[in-house]
Amino acid sequence: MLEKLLPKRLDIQVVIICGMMILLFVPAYLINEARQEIDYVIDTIKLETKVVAQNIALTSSKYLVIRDYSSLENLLIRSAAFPGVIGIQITDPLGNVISDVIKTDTKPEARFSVTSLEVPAENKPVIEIAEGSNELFIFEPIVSGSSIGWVRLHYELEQAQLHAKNRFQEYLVDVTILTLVLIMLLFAFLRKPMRMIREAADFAGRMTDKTGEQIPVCTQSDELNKLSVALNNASGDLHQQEMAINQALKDLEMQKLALDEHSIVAITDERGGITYANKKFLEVTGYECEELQGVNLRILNSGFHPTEFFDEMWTTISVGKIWRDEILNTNKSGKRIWLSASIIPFIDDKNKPYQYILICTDITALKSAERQLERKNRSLEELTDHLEDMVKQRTEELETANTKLLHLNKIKSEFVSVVSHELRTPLTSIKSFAEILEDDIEDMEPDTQRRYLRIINDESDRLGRLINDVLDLQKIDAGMMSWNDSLVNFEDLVKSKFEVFEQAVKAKGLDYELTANLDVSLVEIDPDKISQVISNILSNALKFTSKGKISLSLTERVEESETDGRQSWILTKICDTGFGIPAEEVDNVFKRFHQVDSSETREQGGSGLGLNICKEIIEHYNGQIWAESEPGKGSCFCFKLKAVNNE
Amino acid sequence: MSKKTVLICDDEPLIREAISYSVKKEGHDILMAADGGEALLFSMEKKPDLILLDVGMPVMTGFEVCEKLREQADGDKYKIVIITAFGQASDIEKAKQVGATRFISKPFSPRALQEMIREILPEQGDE
Repeated sequence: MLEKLLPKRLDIQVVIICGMMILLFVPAYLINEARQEIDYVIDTIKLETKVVAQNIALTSSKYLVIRDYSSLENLLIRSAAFPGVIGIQITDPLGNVISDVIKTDTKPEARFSVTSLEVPAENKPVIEIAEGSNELFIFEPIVSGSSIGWVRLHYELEQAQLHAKNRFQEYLVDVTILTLVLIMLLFAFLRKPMRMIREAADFAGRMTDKTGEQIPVCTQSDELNKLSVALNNASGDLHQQEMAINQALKDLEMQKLALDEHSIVAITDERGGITYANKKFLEVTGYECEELQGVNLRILNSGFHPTEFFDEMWTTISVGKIWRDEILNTNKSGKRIWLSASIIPFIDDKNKPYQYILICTDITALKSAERQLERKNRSLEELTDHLEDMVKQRTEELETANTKLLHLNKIKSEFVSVVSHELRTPLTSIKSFAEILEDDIEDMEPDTQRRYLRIINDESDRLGRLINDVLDLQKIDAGMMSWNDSLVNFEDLVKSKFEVFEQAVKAKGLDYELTANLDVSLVEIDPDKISQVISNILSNALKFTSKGKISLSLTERVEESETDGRQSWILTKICDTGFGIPAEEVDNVFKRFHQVDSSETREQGGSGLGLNICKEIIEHYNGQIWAESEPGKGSCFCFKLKAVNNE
Repeated sequence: MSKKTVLICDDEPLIREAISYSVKKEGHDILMAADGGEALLFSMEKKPDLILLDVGMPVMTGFEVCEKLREQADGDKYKIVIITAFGQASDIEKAKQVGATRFISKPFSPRALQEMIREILPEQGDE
């Protein structure tokens, strides 16, 4: 209650309280002092007046005894001159006034008015102060042996009271001055702490606005010292905290920037309602900021994930754990987006999430790249498998080809060896007999000479033919043979070749026969090459037949085949009645350098290549050539060629 | 002048004839074989003083005949000349390998052959 009445300044309060205390106690003290003073004065007066009364009593007793009433009166007048005395009366023991003197103005006079007074009962001095008046009555017994009268001194106290009052006033003035001085001193003393307190208060007020300030430390009192030091410390701490907070805020700002630049960020309340979405979020989801305020994140659901997925998510984050996974969402326009997301709950001090932050990166491209990669991988695997198979196949093919090549190489080297061998054989004969002739021709018989020369001639021819055959084969092998194909009447060709042959056949004494019944006779061939074949076979027949018959027949054959369909073939058959060919050699005759191993055939000087060349030629035209034979009875050499249909 | 026996092995009759001429000119007797089998047989049976072996023969090649002859006890005593139409370096090596005494390639010069026979079969036999 007191607080409400007082003004709100501390120093004034202190002063007022002090003042009030002074006002309360000092006057009381003063009054007490004054009263004491009065009492003292009265006591002093009483004492004095008692003495005076006693003196008067004493002196008056003499006069009384002798009944000297005028001396008595003089005595009284003399005594009444005493300051303060108002009147003196002397009475008999019963109170009858004997003498009465009062002081009027300044002069005491005898008074004759009062006749009796009330006197005390006992013979003892009594001092009375009349109620409410400032008059003092002293009754002093006049004794001479026994009480013979009374002295009543009537004293005025006013002076004393006045005196006391003055004193009191003096005191008051003193005290007032003292009080004022005290108040001034108080104010003076309180000025500094007051100022300090005010400064401290202002300082405290400023501390949060402008941190780091320091005020001068107050040394006056421990409490203020402690206060100023504490405030300074607080200011310093606040400043540091502020710096730290600022730095932290800056860092946070940077992080937020980085986050915003890189990540898609949204903040939701504890129920999933969006409270903040960063620029990337808006870009990716296609929504405007306003559209998303308070909207639940569920808006992005794509329906791809089962309910359990979201239940699990909620269970994790609602207890404050971080949830991380990949999630398929749909944006505003229905486009599907894969996000790699983390949801981090912000927990309050009751360990309950009050906010969730969603941070994700768009991995749609990554996902589709993954899928593509998977596809590519699969097709790559397939391809690899396929490739492996192909490689295996190729390797096998290559191995086969290699084997073939090696084989061919072998054959080729064999061929070269064999050819070189074959070439050297006639050459050896030529060289040997030529040298023999050179050295010994004079010593030789003419028959021998001629024989040797013929050998040289024949062997030269043989060599020539061999060389030609080898060259032909070489060309065929190298694919460099020139095939001048044209439509040729086969029958005519054969007939003309046979005619040339007839002479030699006749010369050897053999029969011959040509039969031909062809409807179609056109073939597309190089006439020279086919002539070569016919000549070769015919000359073989002639060579190896010493007696009998050589016959040539041409027939037509029609065959159905998958590749050629309905195809007409011309079959040429040349038969002889010669030595024949053993069964196991029948196919070998067409091989290179094959010469049937018998002394009879040896002499004939074949190259061993003729039939091989025939085979190459016939097979070039997709025909067939073969031999049939009975050793001792004869052989037939056959070949068939495709006829050209006139349709 | 001692007469020696010379075995001529070649499958070509004309070449046998050409070689025979040279051997006869040196005054030696002739034996002939037309294939490797005959060559080996006649060599072992008749033990000729000189064997002229063609390489390219049927049944057995001249190299094989030579090898087989050398495997015999006293196989080193045979005097064998290998005649080859192949004429490659490998043939010369092969001839040395199988233990031929001498080596000549076709087409050969009859004079050279005569010279070789003279060297191998000296006039004063001192075996």
